[in-house]
Amino acid sequence: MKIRSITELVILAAFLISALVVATGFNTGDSIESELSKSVRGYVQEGNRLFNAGRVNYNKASIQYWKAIKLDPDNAEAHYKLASIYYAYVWNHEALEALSEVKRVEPSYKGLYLLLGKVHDKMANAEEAFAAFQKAVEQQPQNSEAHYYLGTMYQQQSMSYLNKDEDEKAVDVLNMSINEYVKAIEANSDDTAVVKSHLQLGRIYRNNQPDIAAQKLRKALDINPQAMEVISELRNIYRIQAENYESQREFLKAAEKYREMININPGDERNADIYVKIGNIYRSNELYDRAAKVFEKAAELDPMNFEAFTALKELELLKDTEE
Amino acid sequence: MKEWKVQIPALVIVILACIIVDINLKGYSREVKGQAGNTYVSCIGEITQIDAGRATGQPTAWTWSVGGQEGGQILTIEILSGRFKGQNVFAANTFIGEYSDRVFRVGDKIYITLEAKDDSIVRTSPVGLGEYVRTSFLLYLAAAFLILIIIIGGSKGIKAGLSLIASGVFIAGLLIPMFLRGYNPVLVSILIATVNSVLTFMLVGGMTRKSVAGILGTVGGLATAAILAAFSSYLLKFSGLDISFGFLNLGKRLWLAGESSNWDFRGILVAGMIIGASGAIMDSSMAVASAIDEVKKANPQIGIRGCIKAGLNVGKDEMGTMANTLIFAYIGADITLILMPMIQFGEAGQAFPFTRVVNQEAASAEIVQAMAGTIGLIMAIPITALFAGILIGKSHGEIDEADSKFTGKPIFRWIVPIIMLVTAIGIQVGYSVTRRSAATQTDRAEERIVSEYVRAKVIDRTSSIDVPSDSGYAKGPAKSEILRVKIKGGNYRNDQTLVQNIIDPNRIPLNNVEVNNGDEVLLKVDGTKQSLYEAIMHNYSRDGILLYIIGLFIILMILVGRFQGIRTIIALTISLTIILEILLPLIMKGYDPVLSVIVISGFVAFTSLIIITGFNRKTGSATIGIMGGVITAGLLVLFADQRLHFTGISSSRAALAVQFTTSQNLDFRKILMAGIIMGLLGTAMDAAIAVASSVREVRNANPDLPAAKLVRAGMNVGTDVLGTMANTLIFAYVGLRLMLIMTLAGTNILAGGKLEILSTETVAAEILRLLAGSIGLVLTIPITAFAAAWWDEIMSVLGFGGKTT
Repeated sequence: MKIRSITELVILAAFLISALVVATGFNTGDSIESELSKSVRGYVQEGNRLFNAGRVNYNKASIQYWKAIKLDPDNAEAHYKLASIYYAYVWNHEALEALSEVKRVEPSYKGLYLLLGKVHDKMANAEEAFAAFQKAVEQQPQNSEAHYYLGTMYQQQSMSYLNKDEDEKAVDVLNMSINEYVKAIEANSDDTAVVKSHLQLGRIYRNNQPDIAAQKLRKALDINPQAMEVISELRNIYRIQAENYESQREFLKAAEKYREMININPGDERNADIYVKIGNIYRSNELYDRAAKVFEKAAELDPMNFEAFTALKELELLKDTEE
Repeated sequence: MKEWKVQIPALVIVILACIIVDINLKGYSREVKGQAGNTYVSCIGEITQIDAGRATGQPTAWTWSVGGQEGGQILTIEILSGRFKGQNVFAANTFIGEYSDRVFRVGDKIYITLEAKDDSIVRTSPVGLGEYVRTSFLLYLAAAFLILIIIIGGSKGIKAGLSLIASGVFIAGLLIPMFLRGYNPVLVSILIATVNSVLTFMLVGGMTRKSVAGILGTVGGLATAAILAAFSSYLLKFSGLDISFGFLNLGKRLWLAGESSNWDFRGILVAGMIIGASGAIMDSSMAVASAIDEVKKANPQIGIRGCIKAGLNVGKDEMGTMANTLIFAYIGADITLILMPMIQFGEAGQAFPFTRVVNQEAASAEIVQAMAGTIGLIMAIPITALFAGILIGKSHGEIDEADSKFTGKPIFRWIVPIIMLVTAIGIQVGYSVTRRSAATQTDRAEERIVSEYVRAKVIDRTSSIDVPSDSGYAKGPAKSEILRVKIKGGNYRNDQTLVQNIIDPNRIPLNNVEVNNGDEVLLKVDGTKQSLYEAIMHNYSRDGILLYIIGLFIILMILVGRFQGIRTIIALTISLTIILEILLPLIMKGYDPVLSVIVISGFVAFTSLIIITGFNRKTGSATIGIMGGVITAGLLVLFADQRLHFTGISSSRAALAVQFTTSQNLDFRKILMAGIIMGLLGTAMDAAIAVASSVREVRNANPDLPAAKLVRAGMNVGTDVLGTMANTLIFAYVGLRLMLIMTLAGTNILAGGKLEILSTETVAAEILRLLAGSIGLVLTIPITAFAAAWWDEIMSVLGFGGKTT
């Protein structure tokens, strides 16, 4: 056989072999063990640095924890942090799996039961979540978040009793819920949990004791003035109060409540409609100057507000007629 | 016997058969028992009157508008078939503002469904509006095709027609029933293709050594294609379920259906690849075996090596044009898939970048199908040459052809291995480069990576855990595992990330990505430029292996075809570049797709033929013939479009594109037509070059021969190849749509009677593809023969004096 033909066949064979290597994934290249150059502590520390830098670095942090676990499968911290990241990714089953490793290695690991409860809560496993939060409160009595979540569990139970017309039990459990929220606020270990606890208390008191509810929500806003859920809830309470006053024909009191509603967040575009309501109250009480001022504010906030525009026109006409 | 003595009876039989079948089709009526003694009657109706308005009491439906007609149409329909023939019914055609809306015209014939009780129509029950009646038109088109091959091909045309009918009977009567009975699809397809080739060779050449060599070559080519197809399907983890029927996800329906529970979907996909290639493989084996036989007749002293070399020489020529056949047929059949990376989807931008599309099973499978088939036909050439050489040349002494030794400079002898080596290295480099590439979309400020498709290698993974399945089917829990992967390209190259991978037995296997350590996967990631935020498992990474399959095709083409192989690869590369870089952008810019394809086809044909055979009268006349065939097919599909009311939504991808694209210029109806025309290009080139070559050879042998005789010689050769070429097209399309054919034949998944299903756009478009392509092919032959015979005269008329060789 000619050298040329042999060369051609060799090229073909070499090509087929390289194709097979690629196709069967033989070229793994990266040996898992060889890449593990740091100590377990080193990986965990690097992971913690990235983890604490925020959600955007979770991916990098997770790789560090994974490597730490490769070297030391009994490292509770790495398992726990990995579980936290899985929880953030909504990989709930994997988070549970990682937490079971934490439980195996270090059953008293701080934060274990709180995270376990949160994962179960997200998966709508109410019983498991409740049991975990109870343990979390025992484990960390000064942890606001644990109390807050336990409070939400009691609140859910209360709703469930209400739906079954077991009103007495519902009230008892609701009181336990309130108790947990109060503890969360007193512990004051986590601003978010405290704000949420105030919010939940506001919701609980909303219907029967709106003034107390408003007070709770105001406290929440003192901690976080941008908490949208709280703002929305508080506006809702003032709106209901104002409408109640209107139905009782106590218009000026209603106007005051509307004013409080506006004061929560004065720059909110939705306030234009509230100004219109106040303006209408003043107009119907023949307080035309005050009415004109609030209609103008409504028009300032929302130049396309048709009602404010026509009201101002009417007031101008009225003024001209009077003159 | 005079030709007309067989032609006229054959024509009469075709016309009579067509009329009889049409009468049957027009009398279509199907009844299904309903509840409370009612019957649902499907029949044909003709729209006699249309009133636009708001009369049917479906207020929400009337808020949309289509074609400037708000709301919908109230149709008066005259029943044309069944027991209520002659009666009128009324139906509401409600527009919902989506692509599926149809605007009917007076005179349209459609399938309708009525509710009947006793002997009368239940007038209070709404009339169901089915498909347009497309079967009659397709029937007449099929008849036109048969009439044309009888007129043009004479007795050979009749044989070709019979061979086509036999192929159809083989497929419908043997292949599909065997698949449906659960026989191994791969083995059945090899067996059927072999039996078909045995019968075809015997029919054409009788029980001769030439036939035996041709059969053995075909079997060799089929075996090569089968091994490659099966091995590739295994490596690329095809499920066989990435198929759609219009906007219906047919793969999922088949997977869920009890009727298809015993189907081996991947096996059927591989069988389709084998069947698709069988026509082309048979064709090339036939050409090589015949050529060796002719050489032996011309020179009885020639020995085995001489015969083999002669066969290889012919095979190399054959290979040049045959390689185009399958590739163009498959490109034409799924032109929307190739367009997908260019289509804009509003805020999602290019939602289907090339990296995503090429790794999808549908695209990967089509590339494998084209490559496996073409490699099969390449390998059939030396195998046929070897067997033909041994069988035909053995009885005499070894006399090699005088010109068999290459007498060029030593460096040129090494060109073939050098180019093989360059190709092999090029593929390795291409593999590395593509691994590092990514399809990235950023936000407007270019600060955030909105989506990036990247390849990643699995380094490590957790053991899987049971998780609840999202689907409601009870095949056990899903398994979830976390993979640690290393990203190979794009913005996050060399970064590692965790990715969740859920394998759910309750969902279609197409959507599961089962991987091991070391495997490569395709991820969709997003994040900031600095940090990856989230990675989602998207698919298997298939393009690396595909690249090696393409590399194998190129190397084998060069190894077998030598210089001719190199020329073929260059021609093919240029053709594909023209299609990707000129034709598709033209279509995207809003130029008429049909016109663009016709013009570009001429350009592609001319360029390819110049590269493969050089610039001569053969190239020129073949180009004229190809253009003639392509223009005919173009006119035919445009005419058919008027009669068949296509929308262009022949696949779920097209439906997706029509519904959500923001590329304003796309006319999917015409894109479908353009694909039908493009599918013809490969076979037309093959047939045209065969005719033009023979005319040139005859002219060279006898320069004084009158043009009429030259035309006859060209027609003789053309009609010889007609049967096998049309067979090639039929098998290619049957192979491509094998699962659809099986669904039609063996399940009740598609609603309605068989005739109604034949009338659906998806099926009708496939039939039109086959018939328009075949008619274009038939007409390519006489046009090429005339152009070749009167080439000098044509050149003089065009102002190019002088004779070309």
